[in-house]
Amino acid sequence: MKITKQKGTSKSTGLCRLQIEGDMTIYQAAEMMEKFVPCWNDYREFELNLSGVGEMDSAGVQLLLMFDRKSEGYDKKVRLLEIREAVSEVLNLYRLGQRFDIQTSPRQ
Amino acid sequence: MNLDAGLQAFSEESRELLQSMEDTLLQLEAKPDDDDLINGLFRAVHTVKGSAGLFGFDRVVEFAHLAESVMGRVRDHQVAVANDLPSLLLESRDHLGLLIEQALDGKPDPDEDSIRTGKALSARLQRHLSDRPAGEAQSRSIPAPTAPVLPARREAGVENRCWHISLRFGTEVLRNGMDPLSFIRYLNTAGEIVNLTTLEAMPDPAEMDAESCYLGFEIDLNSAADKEAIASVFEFVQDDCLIHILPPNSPIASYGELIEALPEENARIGEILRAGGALTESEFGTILAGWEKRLGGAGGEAESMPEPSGDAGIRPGVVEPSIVNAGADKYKKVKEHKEEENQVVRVSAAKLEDLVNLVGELVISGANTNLLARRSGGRRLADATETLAGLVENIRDTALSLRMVEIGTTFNRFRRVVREVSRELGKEIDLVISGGDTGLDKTVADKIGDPLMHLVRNALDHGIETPAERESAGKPLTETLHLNAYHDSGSIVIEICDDGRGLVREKILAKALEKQLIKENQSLTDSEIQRLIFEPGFSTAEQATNLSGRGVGMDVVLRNIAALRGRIDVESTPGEGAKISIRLPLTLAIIDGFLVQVGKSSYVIPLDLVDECVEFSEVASESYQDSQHINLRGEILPYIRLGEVFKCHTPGARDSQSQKVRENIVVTRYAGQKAGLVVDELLGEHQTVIKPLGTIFKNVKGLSGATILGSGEVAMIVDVPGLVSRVSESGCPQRTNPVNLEEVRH
Repeated sequence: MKITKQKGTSKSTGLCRLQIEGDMTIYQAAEMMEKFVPCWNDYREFELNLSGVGEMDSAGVQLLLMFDRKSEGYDKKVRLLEIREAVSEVLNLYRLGQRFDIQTSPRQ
Repeated sequence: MNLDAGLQAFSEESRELLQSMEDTLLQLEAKPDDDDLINGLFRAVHTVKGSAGLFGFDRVVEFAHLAESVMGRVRDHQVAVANDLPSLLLESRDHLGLLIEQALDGKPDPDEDSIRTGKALSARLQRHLSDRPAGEAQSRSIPAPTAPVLPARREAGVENRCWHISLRFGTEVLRNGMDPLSFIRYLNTAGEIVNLTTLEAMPDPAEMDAESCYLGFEIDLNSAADKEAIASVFEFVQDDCLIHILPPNSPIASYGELIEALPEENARIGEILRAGGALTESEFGTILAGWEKRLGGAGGEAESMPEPSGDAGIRPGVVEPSIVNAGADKYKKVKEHKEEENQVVRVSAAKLEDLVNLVGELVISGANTNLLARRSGGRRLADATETLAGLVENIRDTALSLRMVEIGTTFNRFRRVVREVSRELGKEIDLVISGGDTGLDKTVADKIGDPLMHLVRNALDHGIETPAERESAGKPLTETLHLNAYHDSGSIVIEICDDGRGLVREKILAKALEKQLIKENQSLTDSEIQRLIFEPGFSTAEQATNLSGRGVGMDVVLRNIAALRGRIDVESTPGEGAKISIRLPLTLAIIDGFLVQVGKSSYVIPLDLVDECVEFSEVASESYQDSQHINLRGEILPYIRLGEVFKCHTPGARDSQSQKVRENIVVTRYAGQKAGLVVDELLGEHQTVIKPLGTIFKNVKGLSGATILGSGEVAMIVDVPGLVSRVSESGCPQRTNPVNLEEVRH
């Protein structure tokens, strides 16, 4: 599992671009969570590149949902980039395709 | 998943729910307008139905559904609680109980009787569903902003042709190796998921536990599968998840129930259901209007409600804020209630029994340790064991209190009996219950139910007059039966008082003569006459009604109560009523005892009965020697020499010593009666684990059990009431047949 901040991440714009490598399942969830929370606190717009995510389960979905907070005074946005088939299947099962801004290529 | 455990839980749950239905129905008769009661009733039958559905008990579900529909109409004020409705619902409740029992027994086919009852009841229930007074019901039940939504069908079902499934997964689901995804995938194979809304209840990221599950779903499933098949999908998670399954075209009311049962705000769920197509706008409007009405809003207010907007998005502003708030309040209440429930842990009675037994052993070995420590003379060791003994005592009390239950539950069972009897006999009877929170050991409570039932029936049947008789006696027409309980010196006292005719001396005497229990011209005191009713084969009922007089006499009651180490007293004032008091020990397992020594034997006297100990001075007793009384501060105190009763002084033992052994007298008090027990030595308090005496000792009066002392010796537990009555019956202790303990022991 590897999470790396990408070019374009900037505290001044509030944008955080993360490249996620590895599965997002219950087995990685706690560890990923630890890395996500500081990002979540520092930025308000997230671009998650999931091209390296092979598998996702409900724990992974919850991690994505965590980023997306609009209620309780938060205004956080999340965009998902380059999602692979296994992930999109899960998101479709949960009918979350509409909820996340899903893009095929990173925004320039 | 252990299905047996599931069934066991269902059996317990349904028993509780049926009991609460019965209680509620009986209260409802007195307060037919109480919305809380009606709601409670509805919820109870709804839950029974739901749980039965999970197990595929179709006959239960079918009947419960009918009953629920009627109750739903009562709740929506379309049917008034009047006439025979409470009786009908009570009978329905009984039938439901029967169906559940049959289902649990695994009987494939119901017997003819139950089918017939079921059909008759169904027909009567149907009547309440169909005879809707058109004008009134319409104006009251249909909210202003919506078009009439009640379809032509008798029951207002929603248009949604899908199964609606509400899931809220428990936090542990993921950790337990299950994934909500797999359930959704599976549902996809069982039918077509028409709509699915994912709900998350995640806390702030800082507080979130990535391995906990915070997901919930609202699903509409188009499927031909039956409820059992759908419910079975969730069998593995049903213990820690909130699962609601509504069949296609469920009544609107059941959606209302669902919305309220779900943890989210009512308004939010309502919007989700509406947006997902589970409910149409007008159906949702009906539910909203129903809440508005119940929340005390005047009927007119409904008109000011904005029309639910047409777009499918979830817009929080759509619903009037007051409703949102009310919904939130309600949710809070529901949640608080849930939390309260969660604070109770169910433990099997057998486990408690084991615990109490172990504590008993602990007490004995603790006493042994104490004794050895004292003998060893080490001060620090003695101190340490002293502390330990204090803790053991606390553990003992806590363990015993775990088994304490309130007598109120037992009392409440009689509401139904009283109600039925008053109908049957045409008597008006008021049941007053007090002291329902008095606690007693569960094992005692379980065993006292039947004897109490018999006594209550007896009081109703024999004690209480007909209205005509009462009128001529100048009494109020409504009778009062009073059940009361309180604690008194280590016992629980249960009283059954009625204001009926009391025990009629002549009647009892005549009957006793006829049954040859007494002889002609035998003179008897009042209390002796009253005790006659406990003689085997005695019954004064002139005609055997189906209440009492079932061949089981009061003698059985007496025997049952004696088996619990209790006693029964009768007080009666002719023409004014009778009072039957039952006195029972609080627990059957461990007592605080007072250890005494007589000769070489040790005896335990229950500490609760000990009033005081004084030195037994021959001087004080001398003048009363013949009558076995002493003068205790100006009071006459009858006394018994334990040594003589139990023959543990070898004759002349005392005389062989140059000085007389200094004796003590233990003053005991039981049921207001004082008696002294003369013993050689007072050894002090002792935690006593009661070991029952074998059946060969069952005729030995004066001993209620045995215990093992720390030293390993056996000490007999003195049955003070038994001993005193034995002595007072025979007038003087010398004339009783003494129990030779030496013989008993070997």
